[in-house]
Amino acid sequence: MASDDRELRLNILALPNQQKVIVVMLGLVVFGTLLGIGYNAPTSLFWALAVLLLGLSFRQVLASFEAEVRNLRLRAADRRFAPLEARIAALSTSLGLSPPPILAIADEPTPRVVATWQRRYITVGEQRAHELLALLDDPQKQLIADAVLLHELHHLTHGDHLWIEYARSLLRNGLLLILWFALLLIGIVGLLALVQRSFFTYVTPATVSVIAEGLAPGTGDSVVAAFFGSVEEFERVAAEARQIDFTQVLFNVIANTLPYLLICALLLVIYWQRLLHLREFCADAGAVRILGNAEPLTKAMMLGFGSSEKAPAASRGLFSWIRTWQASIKHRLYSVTPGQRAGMLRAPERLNGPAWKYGLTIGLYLLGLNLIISSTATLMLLGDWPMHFPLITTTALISLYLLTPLVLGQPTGRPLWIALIAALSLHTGTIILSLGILGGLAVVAPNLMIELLEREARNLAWYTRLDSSRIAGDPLSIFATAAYVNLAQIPVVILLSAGVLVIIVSFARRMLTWYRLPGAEQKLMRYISIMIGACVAVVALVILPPLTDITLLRFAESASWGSPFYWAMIGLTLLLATGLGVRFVQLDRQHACRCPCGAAVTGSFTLGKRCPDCGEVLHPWLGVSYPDPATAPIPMLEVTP
Amino acid sequence: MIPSRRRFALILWCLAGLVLAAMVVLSRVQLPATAFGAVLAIALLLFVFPVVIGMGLAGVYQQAWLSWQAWAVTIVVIVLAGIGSQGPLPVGPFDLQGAATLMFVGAGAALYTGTGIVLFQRDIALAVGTWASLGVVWGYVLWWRVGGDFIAAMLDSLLAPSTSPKPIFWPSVLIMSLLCLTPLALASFAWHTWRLVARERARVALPVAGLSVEEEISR
Repeated sequence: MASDDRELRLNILALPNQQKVIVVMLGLVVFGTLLGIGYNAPTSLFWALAVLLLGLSFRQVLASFEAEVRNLRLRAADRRFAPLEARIAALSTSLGLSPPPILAIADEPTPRVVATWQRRYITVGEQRAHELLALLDDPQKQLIADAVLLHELHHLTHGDHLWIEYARSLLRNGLLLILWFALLLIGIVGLLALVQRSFFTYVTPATVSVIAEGLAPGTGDSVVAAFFGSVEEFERVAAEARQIDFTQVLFNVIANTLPYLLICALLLVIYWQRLLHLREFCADAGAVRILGNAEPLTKAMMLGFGSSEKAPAASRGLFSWIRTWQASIKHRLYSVTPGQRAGMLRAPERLNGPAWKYGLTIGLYLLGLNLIISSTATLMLLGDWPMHFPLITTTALISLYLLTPLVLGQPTGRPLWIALIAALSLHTGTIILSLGILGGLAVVAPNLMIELLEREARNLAWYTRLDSSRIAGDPLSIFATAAYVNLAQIPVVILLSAGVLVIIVSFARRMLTWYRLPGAEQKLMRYISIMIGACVAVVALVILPPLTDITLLRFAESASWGSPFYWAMIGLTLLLATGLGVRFVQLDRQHACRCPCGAAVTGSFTLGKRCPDCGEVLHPWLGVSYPDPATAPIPMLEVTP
Repeated sequence: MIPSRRRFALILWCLAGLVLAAMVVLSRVQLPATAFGAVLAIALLLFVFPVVIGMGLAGVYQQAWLSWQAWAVTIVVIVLAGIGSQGPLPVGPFDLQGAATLMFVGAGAALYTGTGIVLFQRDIALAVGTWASLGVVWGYVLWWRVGGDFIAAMLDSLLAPSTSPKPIFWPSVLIMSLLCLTPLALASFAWHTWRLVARERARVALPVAGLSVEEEISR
């Protein structure tokens, strides 16, 4: 193939690992919420749940591996497949993967990776293994087999088997654990509500004494003392128990668990699909980068080595129809078609999708968080903004998104605003909708509004130590306060977020011109990630707290101004930011706008930019060149292994 | 099934028949009031036998516990025997009620052993433990809604046992089942966790056809 057919494309593996970012985001939601509630809750139950979930999700990674080995009926590859094993070992060595994974024969034909930390297998159906052997035997077709194997090996080098399996375990266990916890609590509360009256009516000291006397004469008084302490004590406990509002307890249980269930389900649907697609696209990119050609991989997909176009066949057993239906739904939701994979190889810069779609995905994530950590009523009752976390998350994630246009030398203004507005639109829409409902209730049914807010206050009081007496007042003035604290944040958040993004983009654009940075392939993206983290930390810890006090008109009464912790936090963050700033200036002076050959290079970085003096491509690791898989000739398609 | 197991199963079935026959015979013998101690000892023995036989049979047919049919049959036997042991007939023959009670005890022991076997064969302790606790709590809620105030009924049965229709039987079975299942589930969970970690550290995959992938490779 002529080299002039090659086109320089974005190397998506050079950018920060999106899969890890998503898994970290999921972890933040699941554990952050539990720990956030647990921090203020008067019980250590939530801490225990977080620890339990952490342990269970790691355990589930190992258990899933065992289940997969059993379900796939994994068996050792015999001597017939020795050449295939040798090829896997050779390719693993070239990728620095040691020890190489073991080839295993499975019932499922499609090649895949089944692995944990210590155990790594590449599995393939027996028929497919013979086809791979036939491809390896033919020097002209060997690259097709290599592409299949490299794709699988890249899953291992990329850590997909751990990151994605952990995310799945976390979401699945989180969902089941909280569902179980919620149903158990609702059942116990319901049972207590039923039993309460009857218990204190029938199980009195007098009744217990009669029963004890009947069973063993002379033991009545001692049994009563052992059970109730004293009659007065019993009366006190009974009086307290009669005052418990079980409807409120039930409301608390549901309000504290239902949002968590919803967010876990939402994240599972949205991000699981994204993670699975990213996994395949990144492994494809890895294989193509090594081969320098997308053609063998696309041919392998056409030969059926990629994910299957068909849903899995019906399984046997009593509930086979459920399993078949479940497998079919999963296949429709999560499978990646060869067409999608070939499209991504053609235009890898489309990995993150259009800006509006990316923004909406962040928006859904924020909406889910909002369901858990706050509501419109919570906002007003707590007197604080829960927009801090959405702002930080949005800024960090959009920064990562903008790296693609930055590397490609495209304008970033339009995608920045589209992604930002899309990300914040859902949350803003929810706030406006909630305020509309609250406002309507304030006019039409003020008593209902007060009752709802009081329920919310009592619910929050349990884990925020909120003084629920703050709810007292005129419904319209309460609505006015809620409207102000909710609406005032919207322009501040959007403008602040946009401002920080512009600063981050400027820094990143400048850092991309550090052509002389030694080991730039390993270091540059790490430095850019650190810069994004530092900017976000400064906003979160230095700018947002005083800005909140100022906007909410509580500058004078804010307790944080007198707190040494508050000033220590600001001081440390500023110190860290200054240190990083000084380092940035040093590195910029040494490495910016200069080719490794020493010649000056003007202007911003663009993928494929060359040194005007030596003609070398600058940051060649950010790109990968191969012919367009759609237009490449396919002389080997007649392969019928 | 290997021959020695078959012999063992045959012995257990014969023993079960003998115990039932002994119970029928004993129920028809009028023992003097002075022989209360002997009657008590025999009655206790009669309860030890079904437990041992139930556990033995569950162990002999351990592979059967992996099929839903074995569970369905055992649960049906437990439910029928449970109803029978409560004396469904106003004036029933004592031996029928006694036989049902013995069957209830034996089938209960078999079910418990079967649960243990499955829990140690399959890593399902967490699912079983969590959903069983849920089943018990909601079982009580449903029981209360359908069967009425069981605290009042329980007190009634303690204060006036002669007129009480023994309403505390099923709630007791529920809580006892959970109490018995919990240590089994905890032990199974701990054992499977240890096994998972040990296999990971030793880099062993699940054995297929009696051999692990590594073992097959090393042959």
